[in-house]
Amino acid sequence: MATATGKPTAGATTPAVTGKGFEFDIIVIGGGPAGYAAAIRAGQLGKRVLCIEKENLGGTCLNWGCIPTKALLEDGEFVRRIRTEAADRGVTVGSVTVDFAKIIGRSRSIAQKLSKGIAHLFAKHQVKHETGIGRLLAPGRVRIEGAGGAKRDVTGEHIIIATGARPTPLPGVEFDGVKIIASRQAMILPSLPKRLAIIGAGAIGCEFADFYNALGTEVVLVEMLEHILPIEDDDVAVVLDRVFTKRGIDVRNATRTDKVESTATGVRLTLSGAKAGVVDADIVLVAIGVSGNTEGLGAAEAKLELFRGRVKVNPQFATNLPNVWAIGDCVALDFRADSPMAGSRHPDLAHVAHHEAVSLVDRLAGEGGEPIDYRWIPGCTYTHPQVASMGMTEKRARQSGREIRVGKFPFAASGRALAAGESDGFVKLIFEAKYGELLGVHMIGQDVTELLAELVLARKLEATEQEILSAMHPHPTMSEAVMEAAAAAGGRAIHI
Amino acid sequence: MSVDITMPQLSDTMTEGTVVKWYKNEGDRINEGEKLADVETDKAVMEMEAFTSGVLAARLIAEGGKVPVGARLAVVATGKEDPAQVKSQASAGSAVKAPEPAKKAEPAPGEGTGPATATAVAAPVAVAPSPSASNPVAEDNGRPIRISPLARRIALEKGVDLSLVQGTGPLGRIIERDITAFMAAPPAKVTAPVVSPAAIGPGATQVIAMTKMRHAIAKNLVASKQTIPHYYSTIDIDVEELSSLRERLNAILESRRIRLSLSDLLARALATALLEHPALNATFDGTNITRYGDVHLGMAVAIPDGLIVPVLRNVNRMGLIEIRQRTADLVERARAQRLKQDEMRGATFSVSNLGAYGLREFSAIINPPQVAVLAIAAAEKRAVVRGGSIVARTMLTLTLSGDHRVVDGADGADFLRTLKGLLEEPGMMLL
Repeated sequence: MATATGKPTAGATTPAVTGKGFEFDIIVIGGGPAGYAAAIRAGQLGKRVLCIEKENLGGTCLNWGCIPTKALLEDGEFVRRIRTEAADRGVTVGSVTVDFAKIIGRSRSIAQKLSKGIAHLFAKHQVKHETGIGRLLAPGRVRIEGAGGAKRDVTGEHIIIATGARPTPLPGVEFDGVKIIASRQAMILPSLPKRLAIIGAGAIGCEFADFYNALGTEVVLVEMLEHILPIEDDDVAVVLDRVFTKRGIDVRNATRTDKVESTATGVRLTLSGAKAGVVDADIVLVAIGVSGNTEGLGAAEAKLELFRGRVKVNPQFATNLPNVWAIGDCVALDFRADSPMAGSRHPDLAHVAHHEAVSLVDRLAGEGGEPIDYRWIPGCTYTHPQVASMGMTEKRARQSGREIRVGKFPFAASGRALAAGESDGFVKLIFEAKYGELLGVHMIGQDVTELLAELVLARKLEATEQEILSAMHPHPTMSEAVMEAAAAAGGRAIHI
Repeated sequence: MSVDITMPQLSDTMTEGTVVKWYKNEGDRINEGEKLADVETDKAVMEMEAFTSGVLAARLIAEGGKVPVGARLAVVATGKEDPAQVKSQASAGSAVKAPEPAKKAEPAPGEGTGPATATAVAAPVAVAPSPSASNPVAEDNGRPIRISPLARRIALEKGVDLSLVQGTGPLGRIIERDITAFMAAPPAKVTAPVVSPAAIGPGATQVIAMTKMRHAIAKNLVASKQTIPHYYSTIDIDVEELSSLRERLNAILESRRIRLSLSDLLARALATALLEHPALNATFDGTNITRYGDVHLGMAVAIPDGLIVPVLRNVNRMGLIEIRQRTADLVERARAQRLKQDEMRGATFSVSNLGAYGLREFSAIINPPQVAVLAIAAAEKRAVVRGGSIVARTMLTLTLSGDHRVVDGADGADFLRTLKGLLEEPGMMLL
């Protein structure tokens, strides 16, 4: 597929780091949301670009993350509503049978379709694509290690590392892929488990809890921190905890997993803390976070600096090596000490990766490159009800020492939400008191992930409380709750 | 009965005016105080209000028509009379029609006629602001400033002059961090507003027709310089104490969202000094000198291709907060060219402040019938001698231009000495 000219071979002289003696302007290692976006953007700007991906294009997001799980969650919710809500809506259904394999199959077919879409976009934008592991030899030089041990060296003026991340195992408990699994296996289980334990109640843990509970699996959800969805606002977590508990999910927050043992029939968890006990399950899903994919990169040989297994970069995505850059989930971002983000971790999200890619490539191509403001990263969890947020939680806003005003509008007061039969949840907006600067958005409710975009734009344009509450929102929609929450911050909501 | 509406004299120097836009049609009911038309004077486009209520029976001047001050513009039927009849009577007089479109400027002589010759004609002075422009801060020199709502809100409350702020958002949009950065370190020098003219290519020329405002400025200043024997007196003032007083006051006033400028303190001191030296707080019509018991301070404000001098009336009766608020209001509306007629006349003394440009000192031309003007340069740290050693102090240089026909040099110097005393020991203003 590659049409390299003057193809150097292994052991050839080290290519020059400057000048135009390179096969490519940009070599991207990794074809996920960071890598493929970088490659396509570079192609758009007329750069000679190569993207090296060891597996399917689209990375975790398209193949094993964001997209296939959304297919599963939609199907789970469909089943749940037929089973629990049909009667209330005057629909009588007989016994409902679920074909689990078909649900998994639909999810996989969507992933495959999207991955092919990336290949098509690569062709459209003249992006060269190689399948294999990209190993950094030196600045300007990458070795592609293909299947069957085939090796080829390529040269590029700029190298962008976008190798992503993979689930972190519980300390001392290795994944076995059968009974002790990560998210990837959880979306292709051969059959519906009867009992599933989930360790870690972040977005991934909560989404799988929602899905498997909807299909009838007994779910135990264990979270070490004080509440589930630990990075979200307390009020949001309280509502989701209540809904989950009502649906029969065994929510064990503030609870530590001390031991995971394999048993004849499955696994046994020993828990301590607020909701201690012994839990037996067919399978345990470990969803406690992700670690950077840097082991095949050859970091040590190339003298690429890592931090806890991730590629260390500054906010301009520069590594310690010249013209070697890194973006997406594989990075450890080293914020300047005076940055408002100092001490924060890189948000491992597909949309962050995408924006980092475009920002970096635009800059490398001399097209500006809008820096990323890490204070305002939107985040979504696709449980039912959904969770969407951006900016500071109320607790953090108060800790920051600012005077704030909080406006909250419950969906129970929204005509549209009541009509939909989805009155759980609220929109909560946090404003700086003096100027009405939007500091935080926290929403839980049906399809609130779609409401978040309005507030992302408001934040980007620095719209304040005044603009949000005075912008005419259409009736009847869920979005009215945004306007009403802004009004509520000043004590002037009409419907509460 | 029917009442004539005539072209008002909207400024001291106005002799004729152009009806730019009518806001009422014939047959419309009008109320006293309602906006009737926009009228362009030699200085700006201004609103003309109705002074009587009734029915607009006839418009005698079409939009674009130019008439002398006092000429009939319209007739209002104020009683039970038939507006149609009023109109037919009124129209018996000759109505002024809209002028022919202005002839295009001739190409500069000596230039070829090929396509490479760029002969630009500058547009006339900005016309009436759009009716929807309700936020004066969002305009600079009549053009909208690209600014986020949050940045605008902070700037308004902190009293930040947006024309000095460099936007770093998309397409130079001013965003919150720009205001924050500006307040943390206001540009010391050379970041004053610059109206960047369109570039003129090599070999090209640009012919610019004199606007009414430029004509008026040219006429007035030639008259001033040719008839008034100007003298200039310059004094250095140590404003270290005044600056720290200002900082202390601003810290206190922060909760009230007020930020005093050095000019505000200066205005306050000027009011006191001028009342002590009434010879400078005066006007001269060539025969009589008129002295005033109040200080009406004219403040020159630059606008595109010209300047306007709004008047802060009765500044001697104001505290610093009122001075700040009224000044901000006048300056913003002056930039938007939305001042009312009486806000631009009646000054008893004027100041010209070019401190933002980083000038060490400069002199100004007297605006008759006033007899003096004060040129305010930049407050800056300078090495000065105090008690035999060289120390850094914040210094400000003021230059007084006086009309020697009526104010002698010693009077001017005495006034400056008083002013210096007040500025170097601000507590004196309390006495």
